[in-house]
Amino acid sequence: MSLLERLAGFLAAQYRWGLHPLKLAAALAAPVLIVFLADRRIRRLAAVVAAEEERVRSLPRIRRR
Amino acid sequence: MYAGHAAVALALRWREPRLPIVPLTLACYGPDCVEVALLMINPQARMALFTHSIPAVMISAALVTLLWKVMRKPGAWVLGVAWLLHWPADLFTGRKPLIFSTPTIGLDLYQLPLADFALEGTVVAIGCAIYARGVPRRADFRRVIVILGAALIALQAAVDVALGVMRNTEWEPSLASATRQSHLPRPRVHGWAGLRMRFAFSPLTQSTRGRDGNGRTPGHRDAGLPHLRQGEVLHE
Repeated sequence: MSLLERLAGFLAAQYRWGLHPLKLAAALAAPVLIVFLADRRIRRLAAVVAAEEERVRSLPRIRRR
Repeated sequence: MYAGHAAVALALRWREPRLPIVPLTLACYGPDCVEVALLMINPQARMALFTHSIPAVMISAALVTLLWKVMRKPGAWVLGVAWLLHWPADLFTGRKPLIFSTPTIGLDLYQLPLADFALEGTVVAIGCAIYARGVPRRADFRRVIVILGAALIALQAAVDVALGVMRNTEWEPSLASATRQSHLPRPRVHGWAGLRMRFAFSPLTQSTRGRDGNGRTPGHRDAGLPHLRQGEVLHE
């Protein structure tokens, strides 16, 4: 049995058991969580890059001292 | 629309970087969130009228914008636009009420999971591309955005597989009226064949009528000759 058939069977079973509002809530939370995690990663990378740029910008001042 | 709403949030984030992504994404899914909350109170009720009709979307968008403004946080109008964009986005994939519970209009692509996946995948790709314009052009940033897009598309694929399994009604797009009466019995055709029939992109031949069984259409040279397939012998 292929992975797709297993997934289809699992989802069919979910449907047979009924679409409880909690399952819908979980389905809504999934993309929000993905976007949040990716955006947080981007912001952290941006902070690292900004700190690196600041360090590079401060190098001539150190040399002047 | 499912993953497409997250793509709309990513695209709007580029317009207002000071606005946190979670409230923005939740605003894009706003009517769905309200519907799920109402369903938790009463699971049997049909709440689309109170969450997805045009007056409901406009009133709730105005309330969210006002609330964000009162809290003196940046990007209140972007939040309102995100909420409002939910309705036109859903117009492609489902059938939503206009003012009252009927008529409902929309392209109803949830009944064609392949077409839905193609549409939402494209929307996710565009949303990620717009979001990428707001971040530095570096490989590590791009990698995160590609993973983000791939995760959203994978999520959408899972939902479309589920829709394919669950599909129990025929595709009924409607942009004009709630009910449509046909004077001829319609054959049930699935997939792209059905899409071509609905939009009459090209004449569709479902049978081999008019052909000789070998894919060759009989012409004037065959007139008066017995219709034989290759390998058959005529016994007189």
